[in-house]
Amino acid sequence: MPVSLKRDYPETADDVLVGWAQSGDTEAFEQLVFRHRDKIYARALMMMRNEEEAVDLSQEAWVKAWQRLHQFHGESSFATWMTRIVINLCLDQIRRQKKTRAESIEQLEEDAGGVERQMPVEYTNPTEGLEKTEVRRRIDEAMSKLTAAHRTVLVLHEFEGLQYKEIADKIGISIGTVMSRLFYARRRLATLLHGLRRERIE
Amino acid sequence: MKMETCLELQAHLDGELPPGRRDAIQALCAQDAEAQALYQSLKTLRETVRDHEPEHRLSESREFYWSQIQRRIASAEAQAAPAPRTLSAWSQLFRWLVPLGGLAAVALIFTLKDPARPGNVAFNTAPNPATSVEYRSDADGVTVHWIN
Repeated sequence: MPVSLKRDYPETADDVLVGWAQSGDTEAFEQLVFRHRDKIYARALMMMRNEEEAVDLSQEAWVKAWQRLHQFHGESSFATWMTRIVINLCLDQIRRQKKTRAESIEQLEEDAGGVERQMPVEYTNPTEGLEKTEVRRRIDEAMSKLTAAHRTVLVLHEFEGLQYKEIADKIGISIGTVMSRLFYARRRLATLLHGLRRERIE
Repeated sequence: MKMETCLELQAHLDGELPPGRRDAIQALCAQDAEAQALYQSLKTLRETVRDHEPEHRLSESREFYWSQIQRRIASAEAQAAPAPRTLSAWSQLFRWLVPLGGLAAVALIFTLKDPARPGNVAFNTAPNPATSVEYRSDADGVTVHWIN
């Protein structure tokens, strides 16, 4: 009797599924894909802001994961390991795109320094009183208006929980640049969220 | 406010401020309204973003998404496979052809060296001091010149 008939994949924990997949069980790997595909896709979409690219890169991440499954020893959760793979693929893609197109005016201004300080400090919470889903939607909308460079730093810091040095190493920039990009991204995001709030009120 | 101070306020919020600067930035937040407002604004935004990570779901069905991954894995494995079989078949053939060819050559020489074989003719055509023997086999359609 084939092994797959005896295994209850949906009820099995990630680490066990990984072990089975490491020994060649593709059904176990399929279950892992099914379980985490939305999260991996969401992370790619957050970074790239393009659905087609996000689907493509998320699938590429699963292919890489299958090929490197023997390198996973459970130092982190499988979901974290997968997320790091898709982030690295997104960063590679952003680097390739950066080579082929000019930097935005916004980024050039930011690199020149000082624009963050021209943004007014907002004292109120721009999302206060809103439904959770509406807050998520507005944050998503505002993040889509950031440049790839600012969004990347924000995603790595706020959603991946990486420290300044880890981000600097991953992207290949200085800690000072990480700090200024993060500061700019936060200030810009706050301004955009307040703008969205004002639009709804008017 | 200086940019450097803004970044220090942010680093304080993120827990990344060097220990030697913590007291100074805390004191600044307590005394300077502008610094305090900026710190609070950054803090509010950070908490809001962390608590409301946007969610996105794939529109593709599980089966379709998985089938695409399977196809990519198969394609990658095919590319990573060892050299094509045609090459390996050629090397197998050469492995046998080389010694067989050598054996055939030796057998041919011995056969042609036998002057008693019907149809074989041996005669010396070269002038002295060099000697030369020529064999011709009508049956095999071969002529060999042997020069000493």
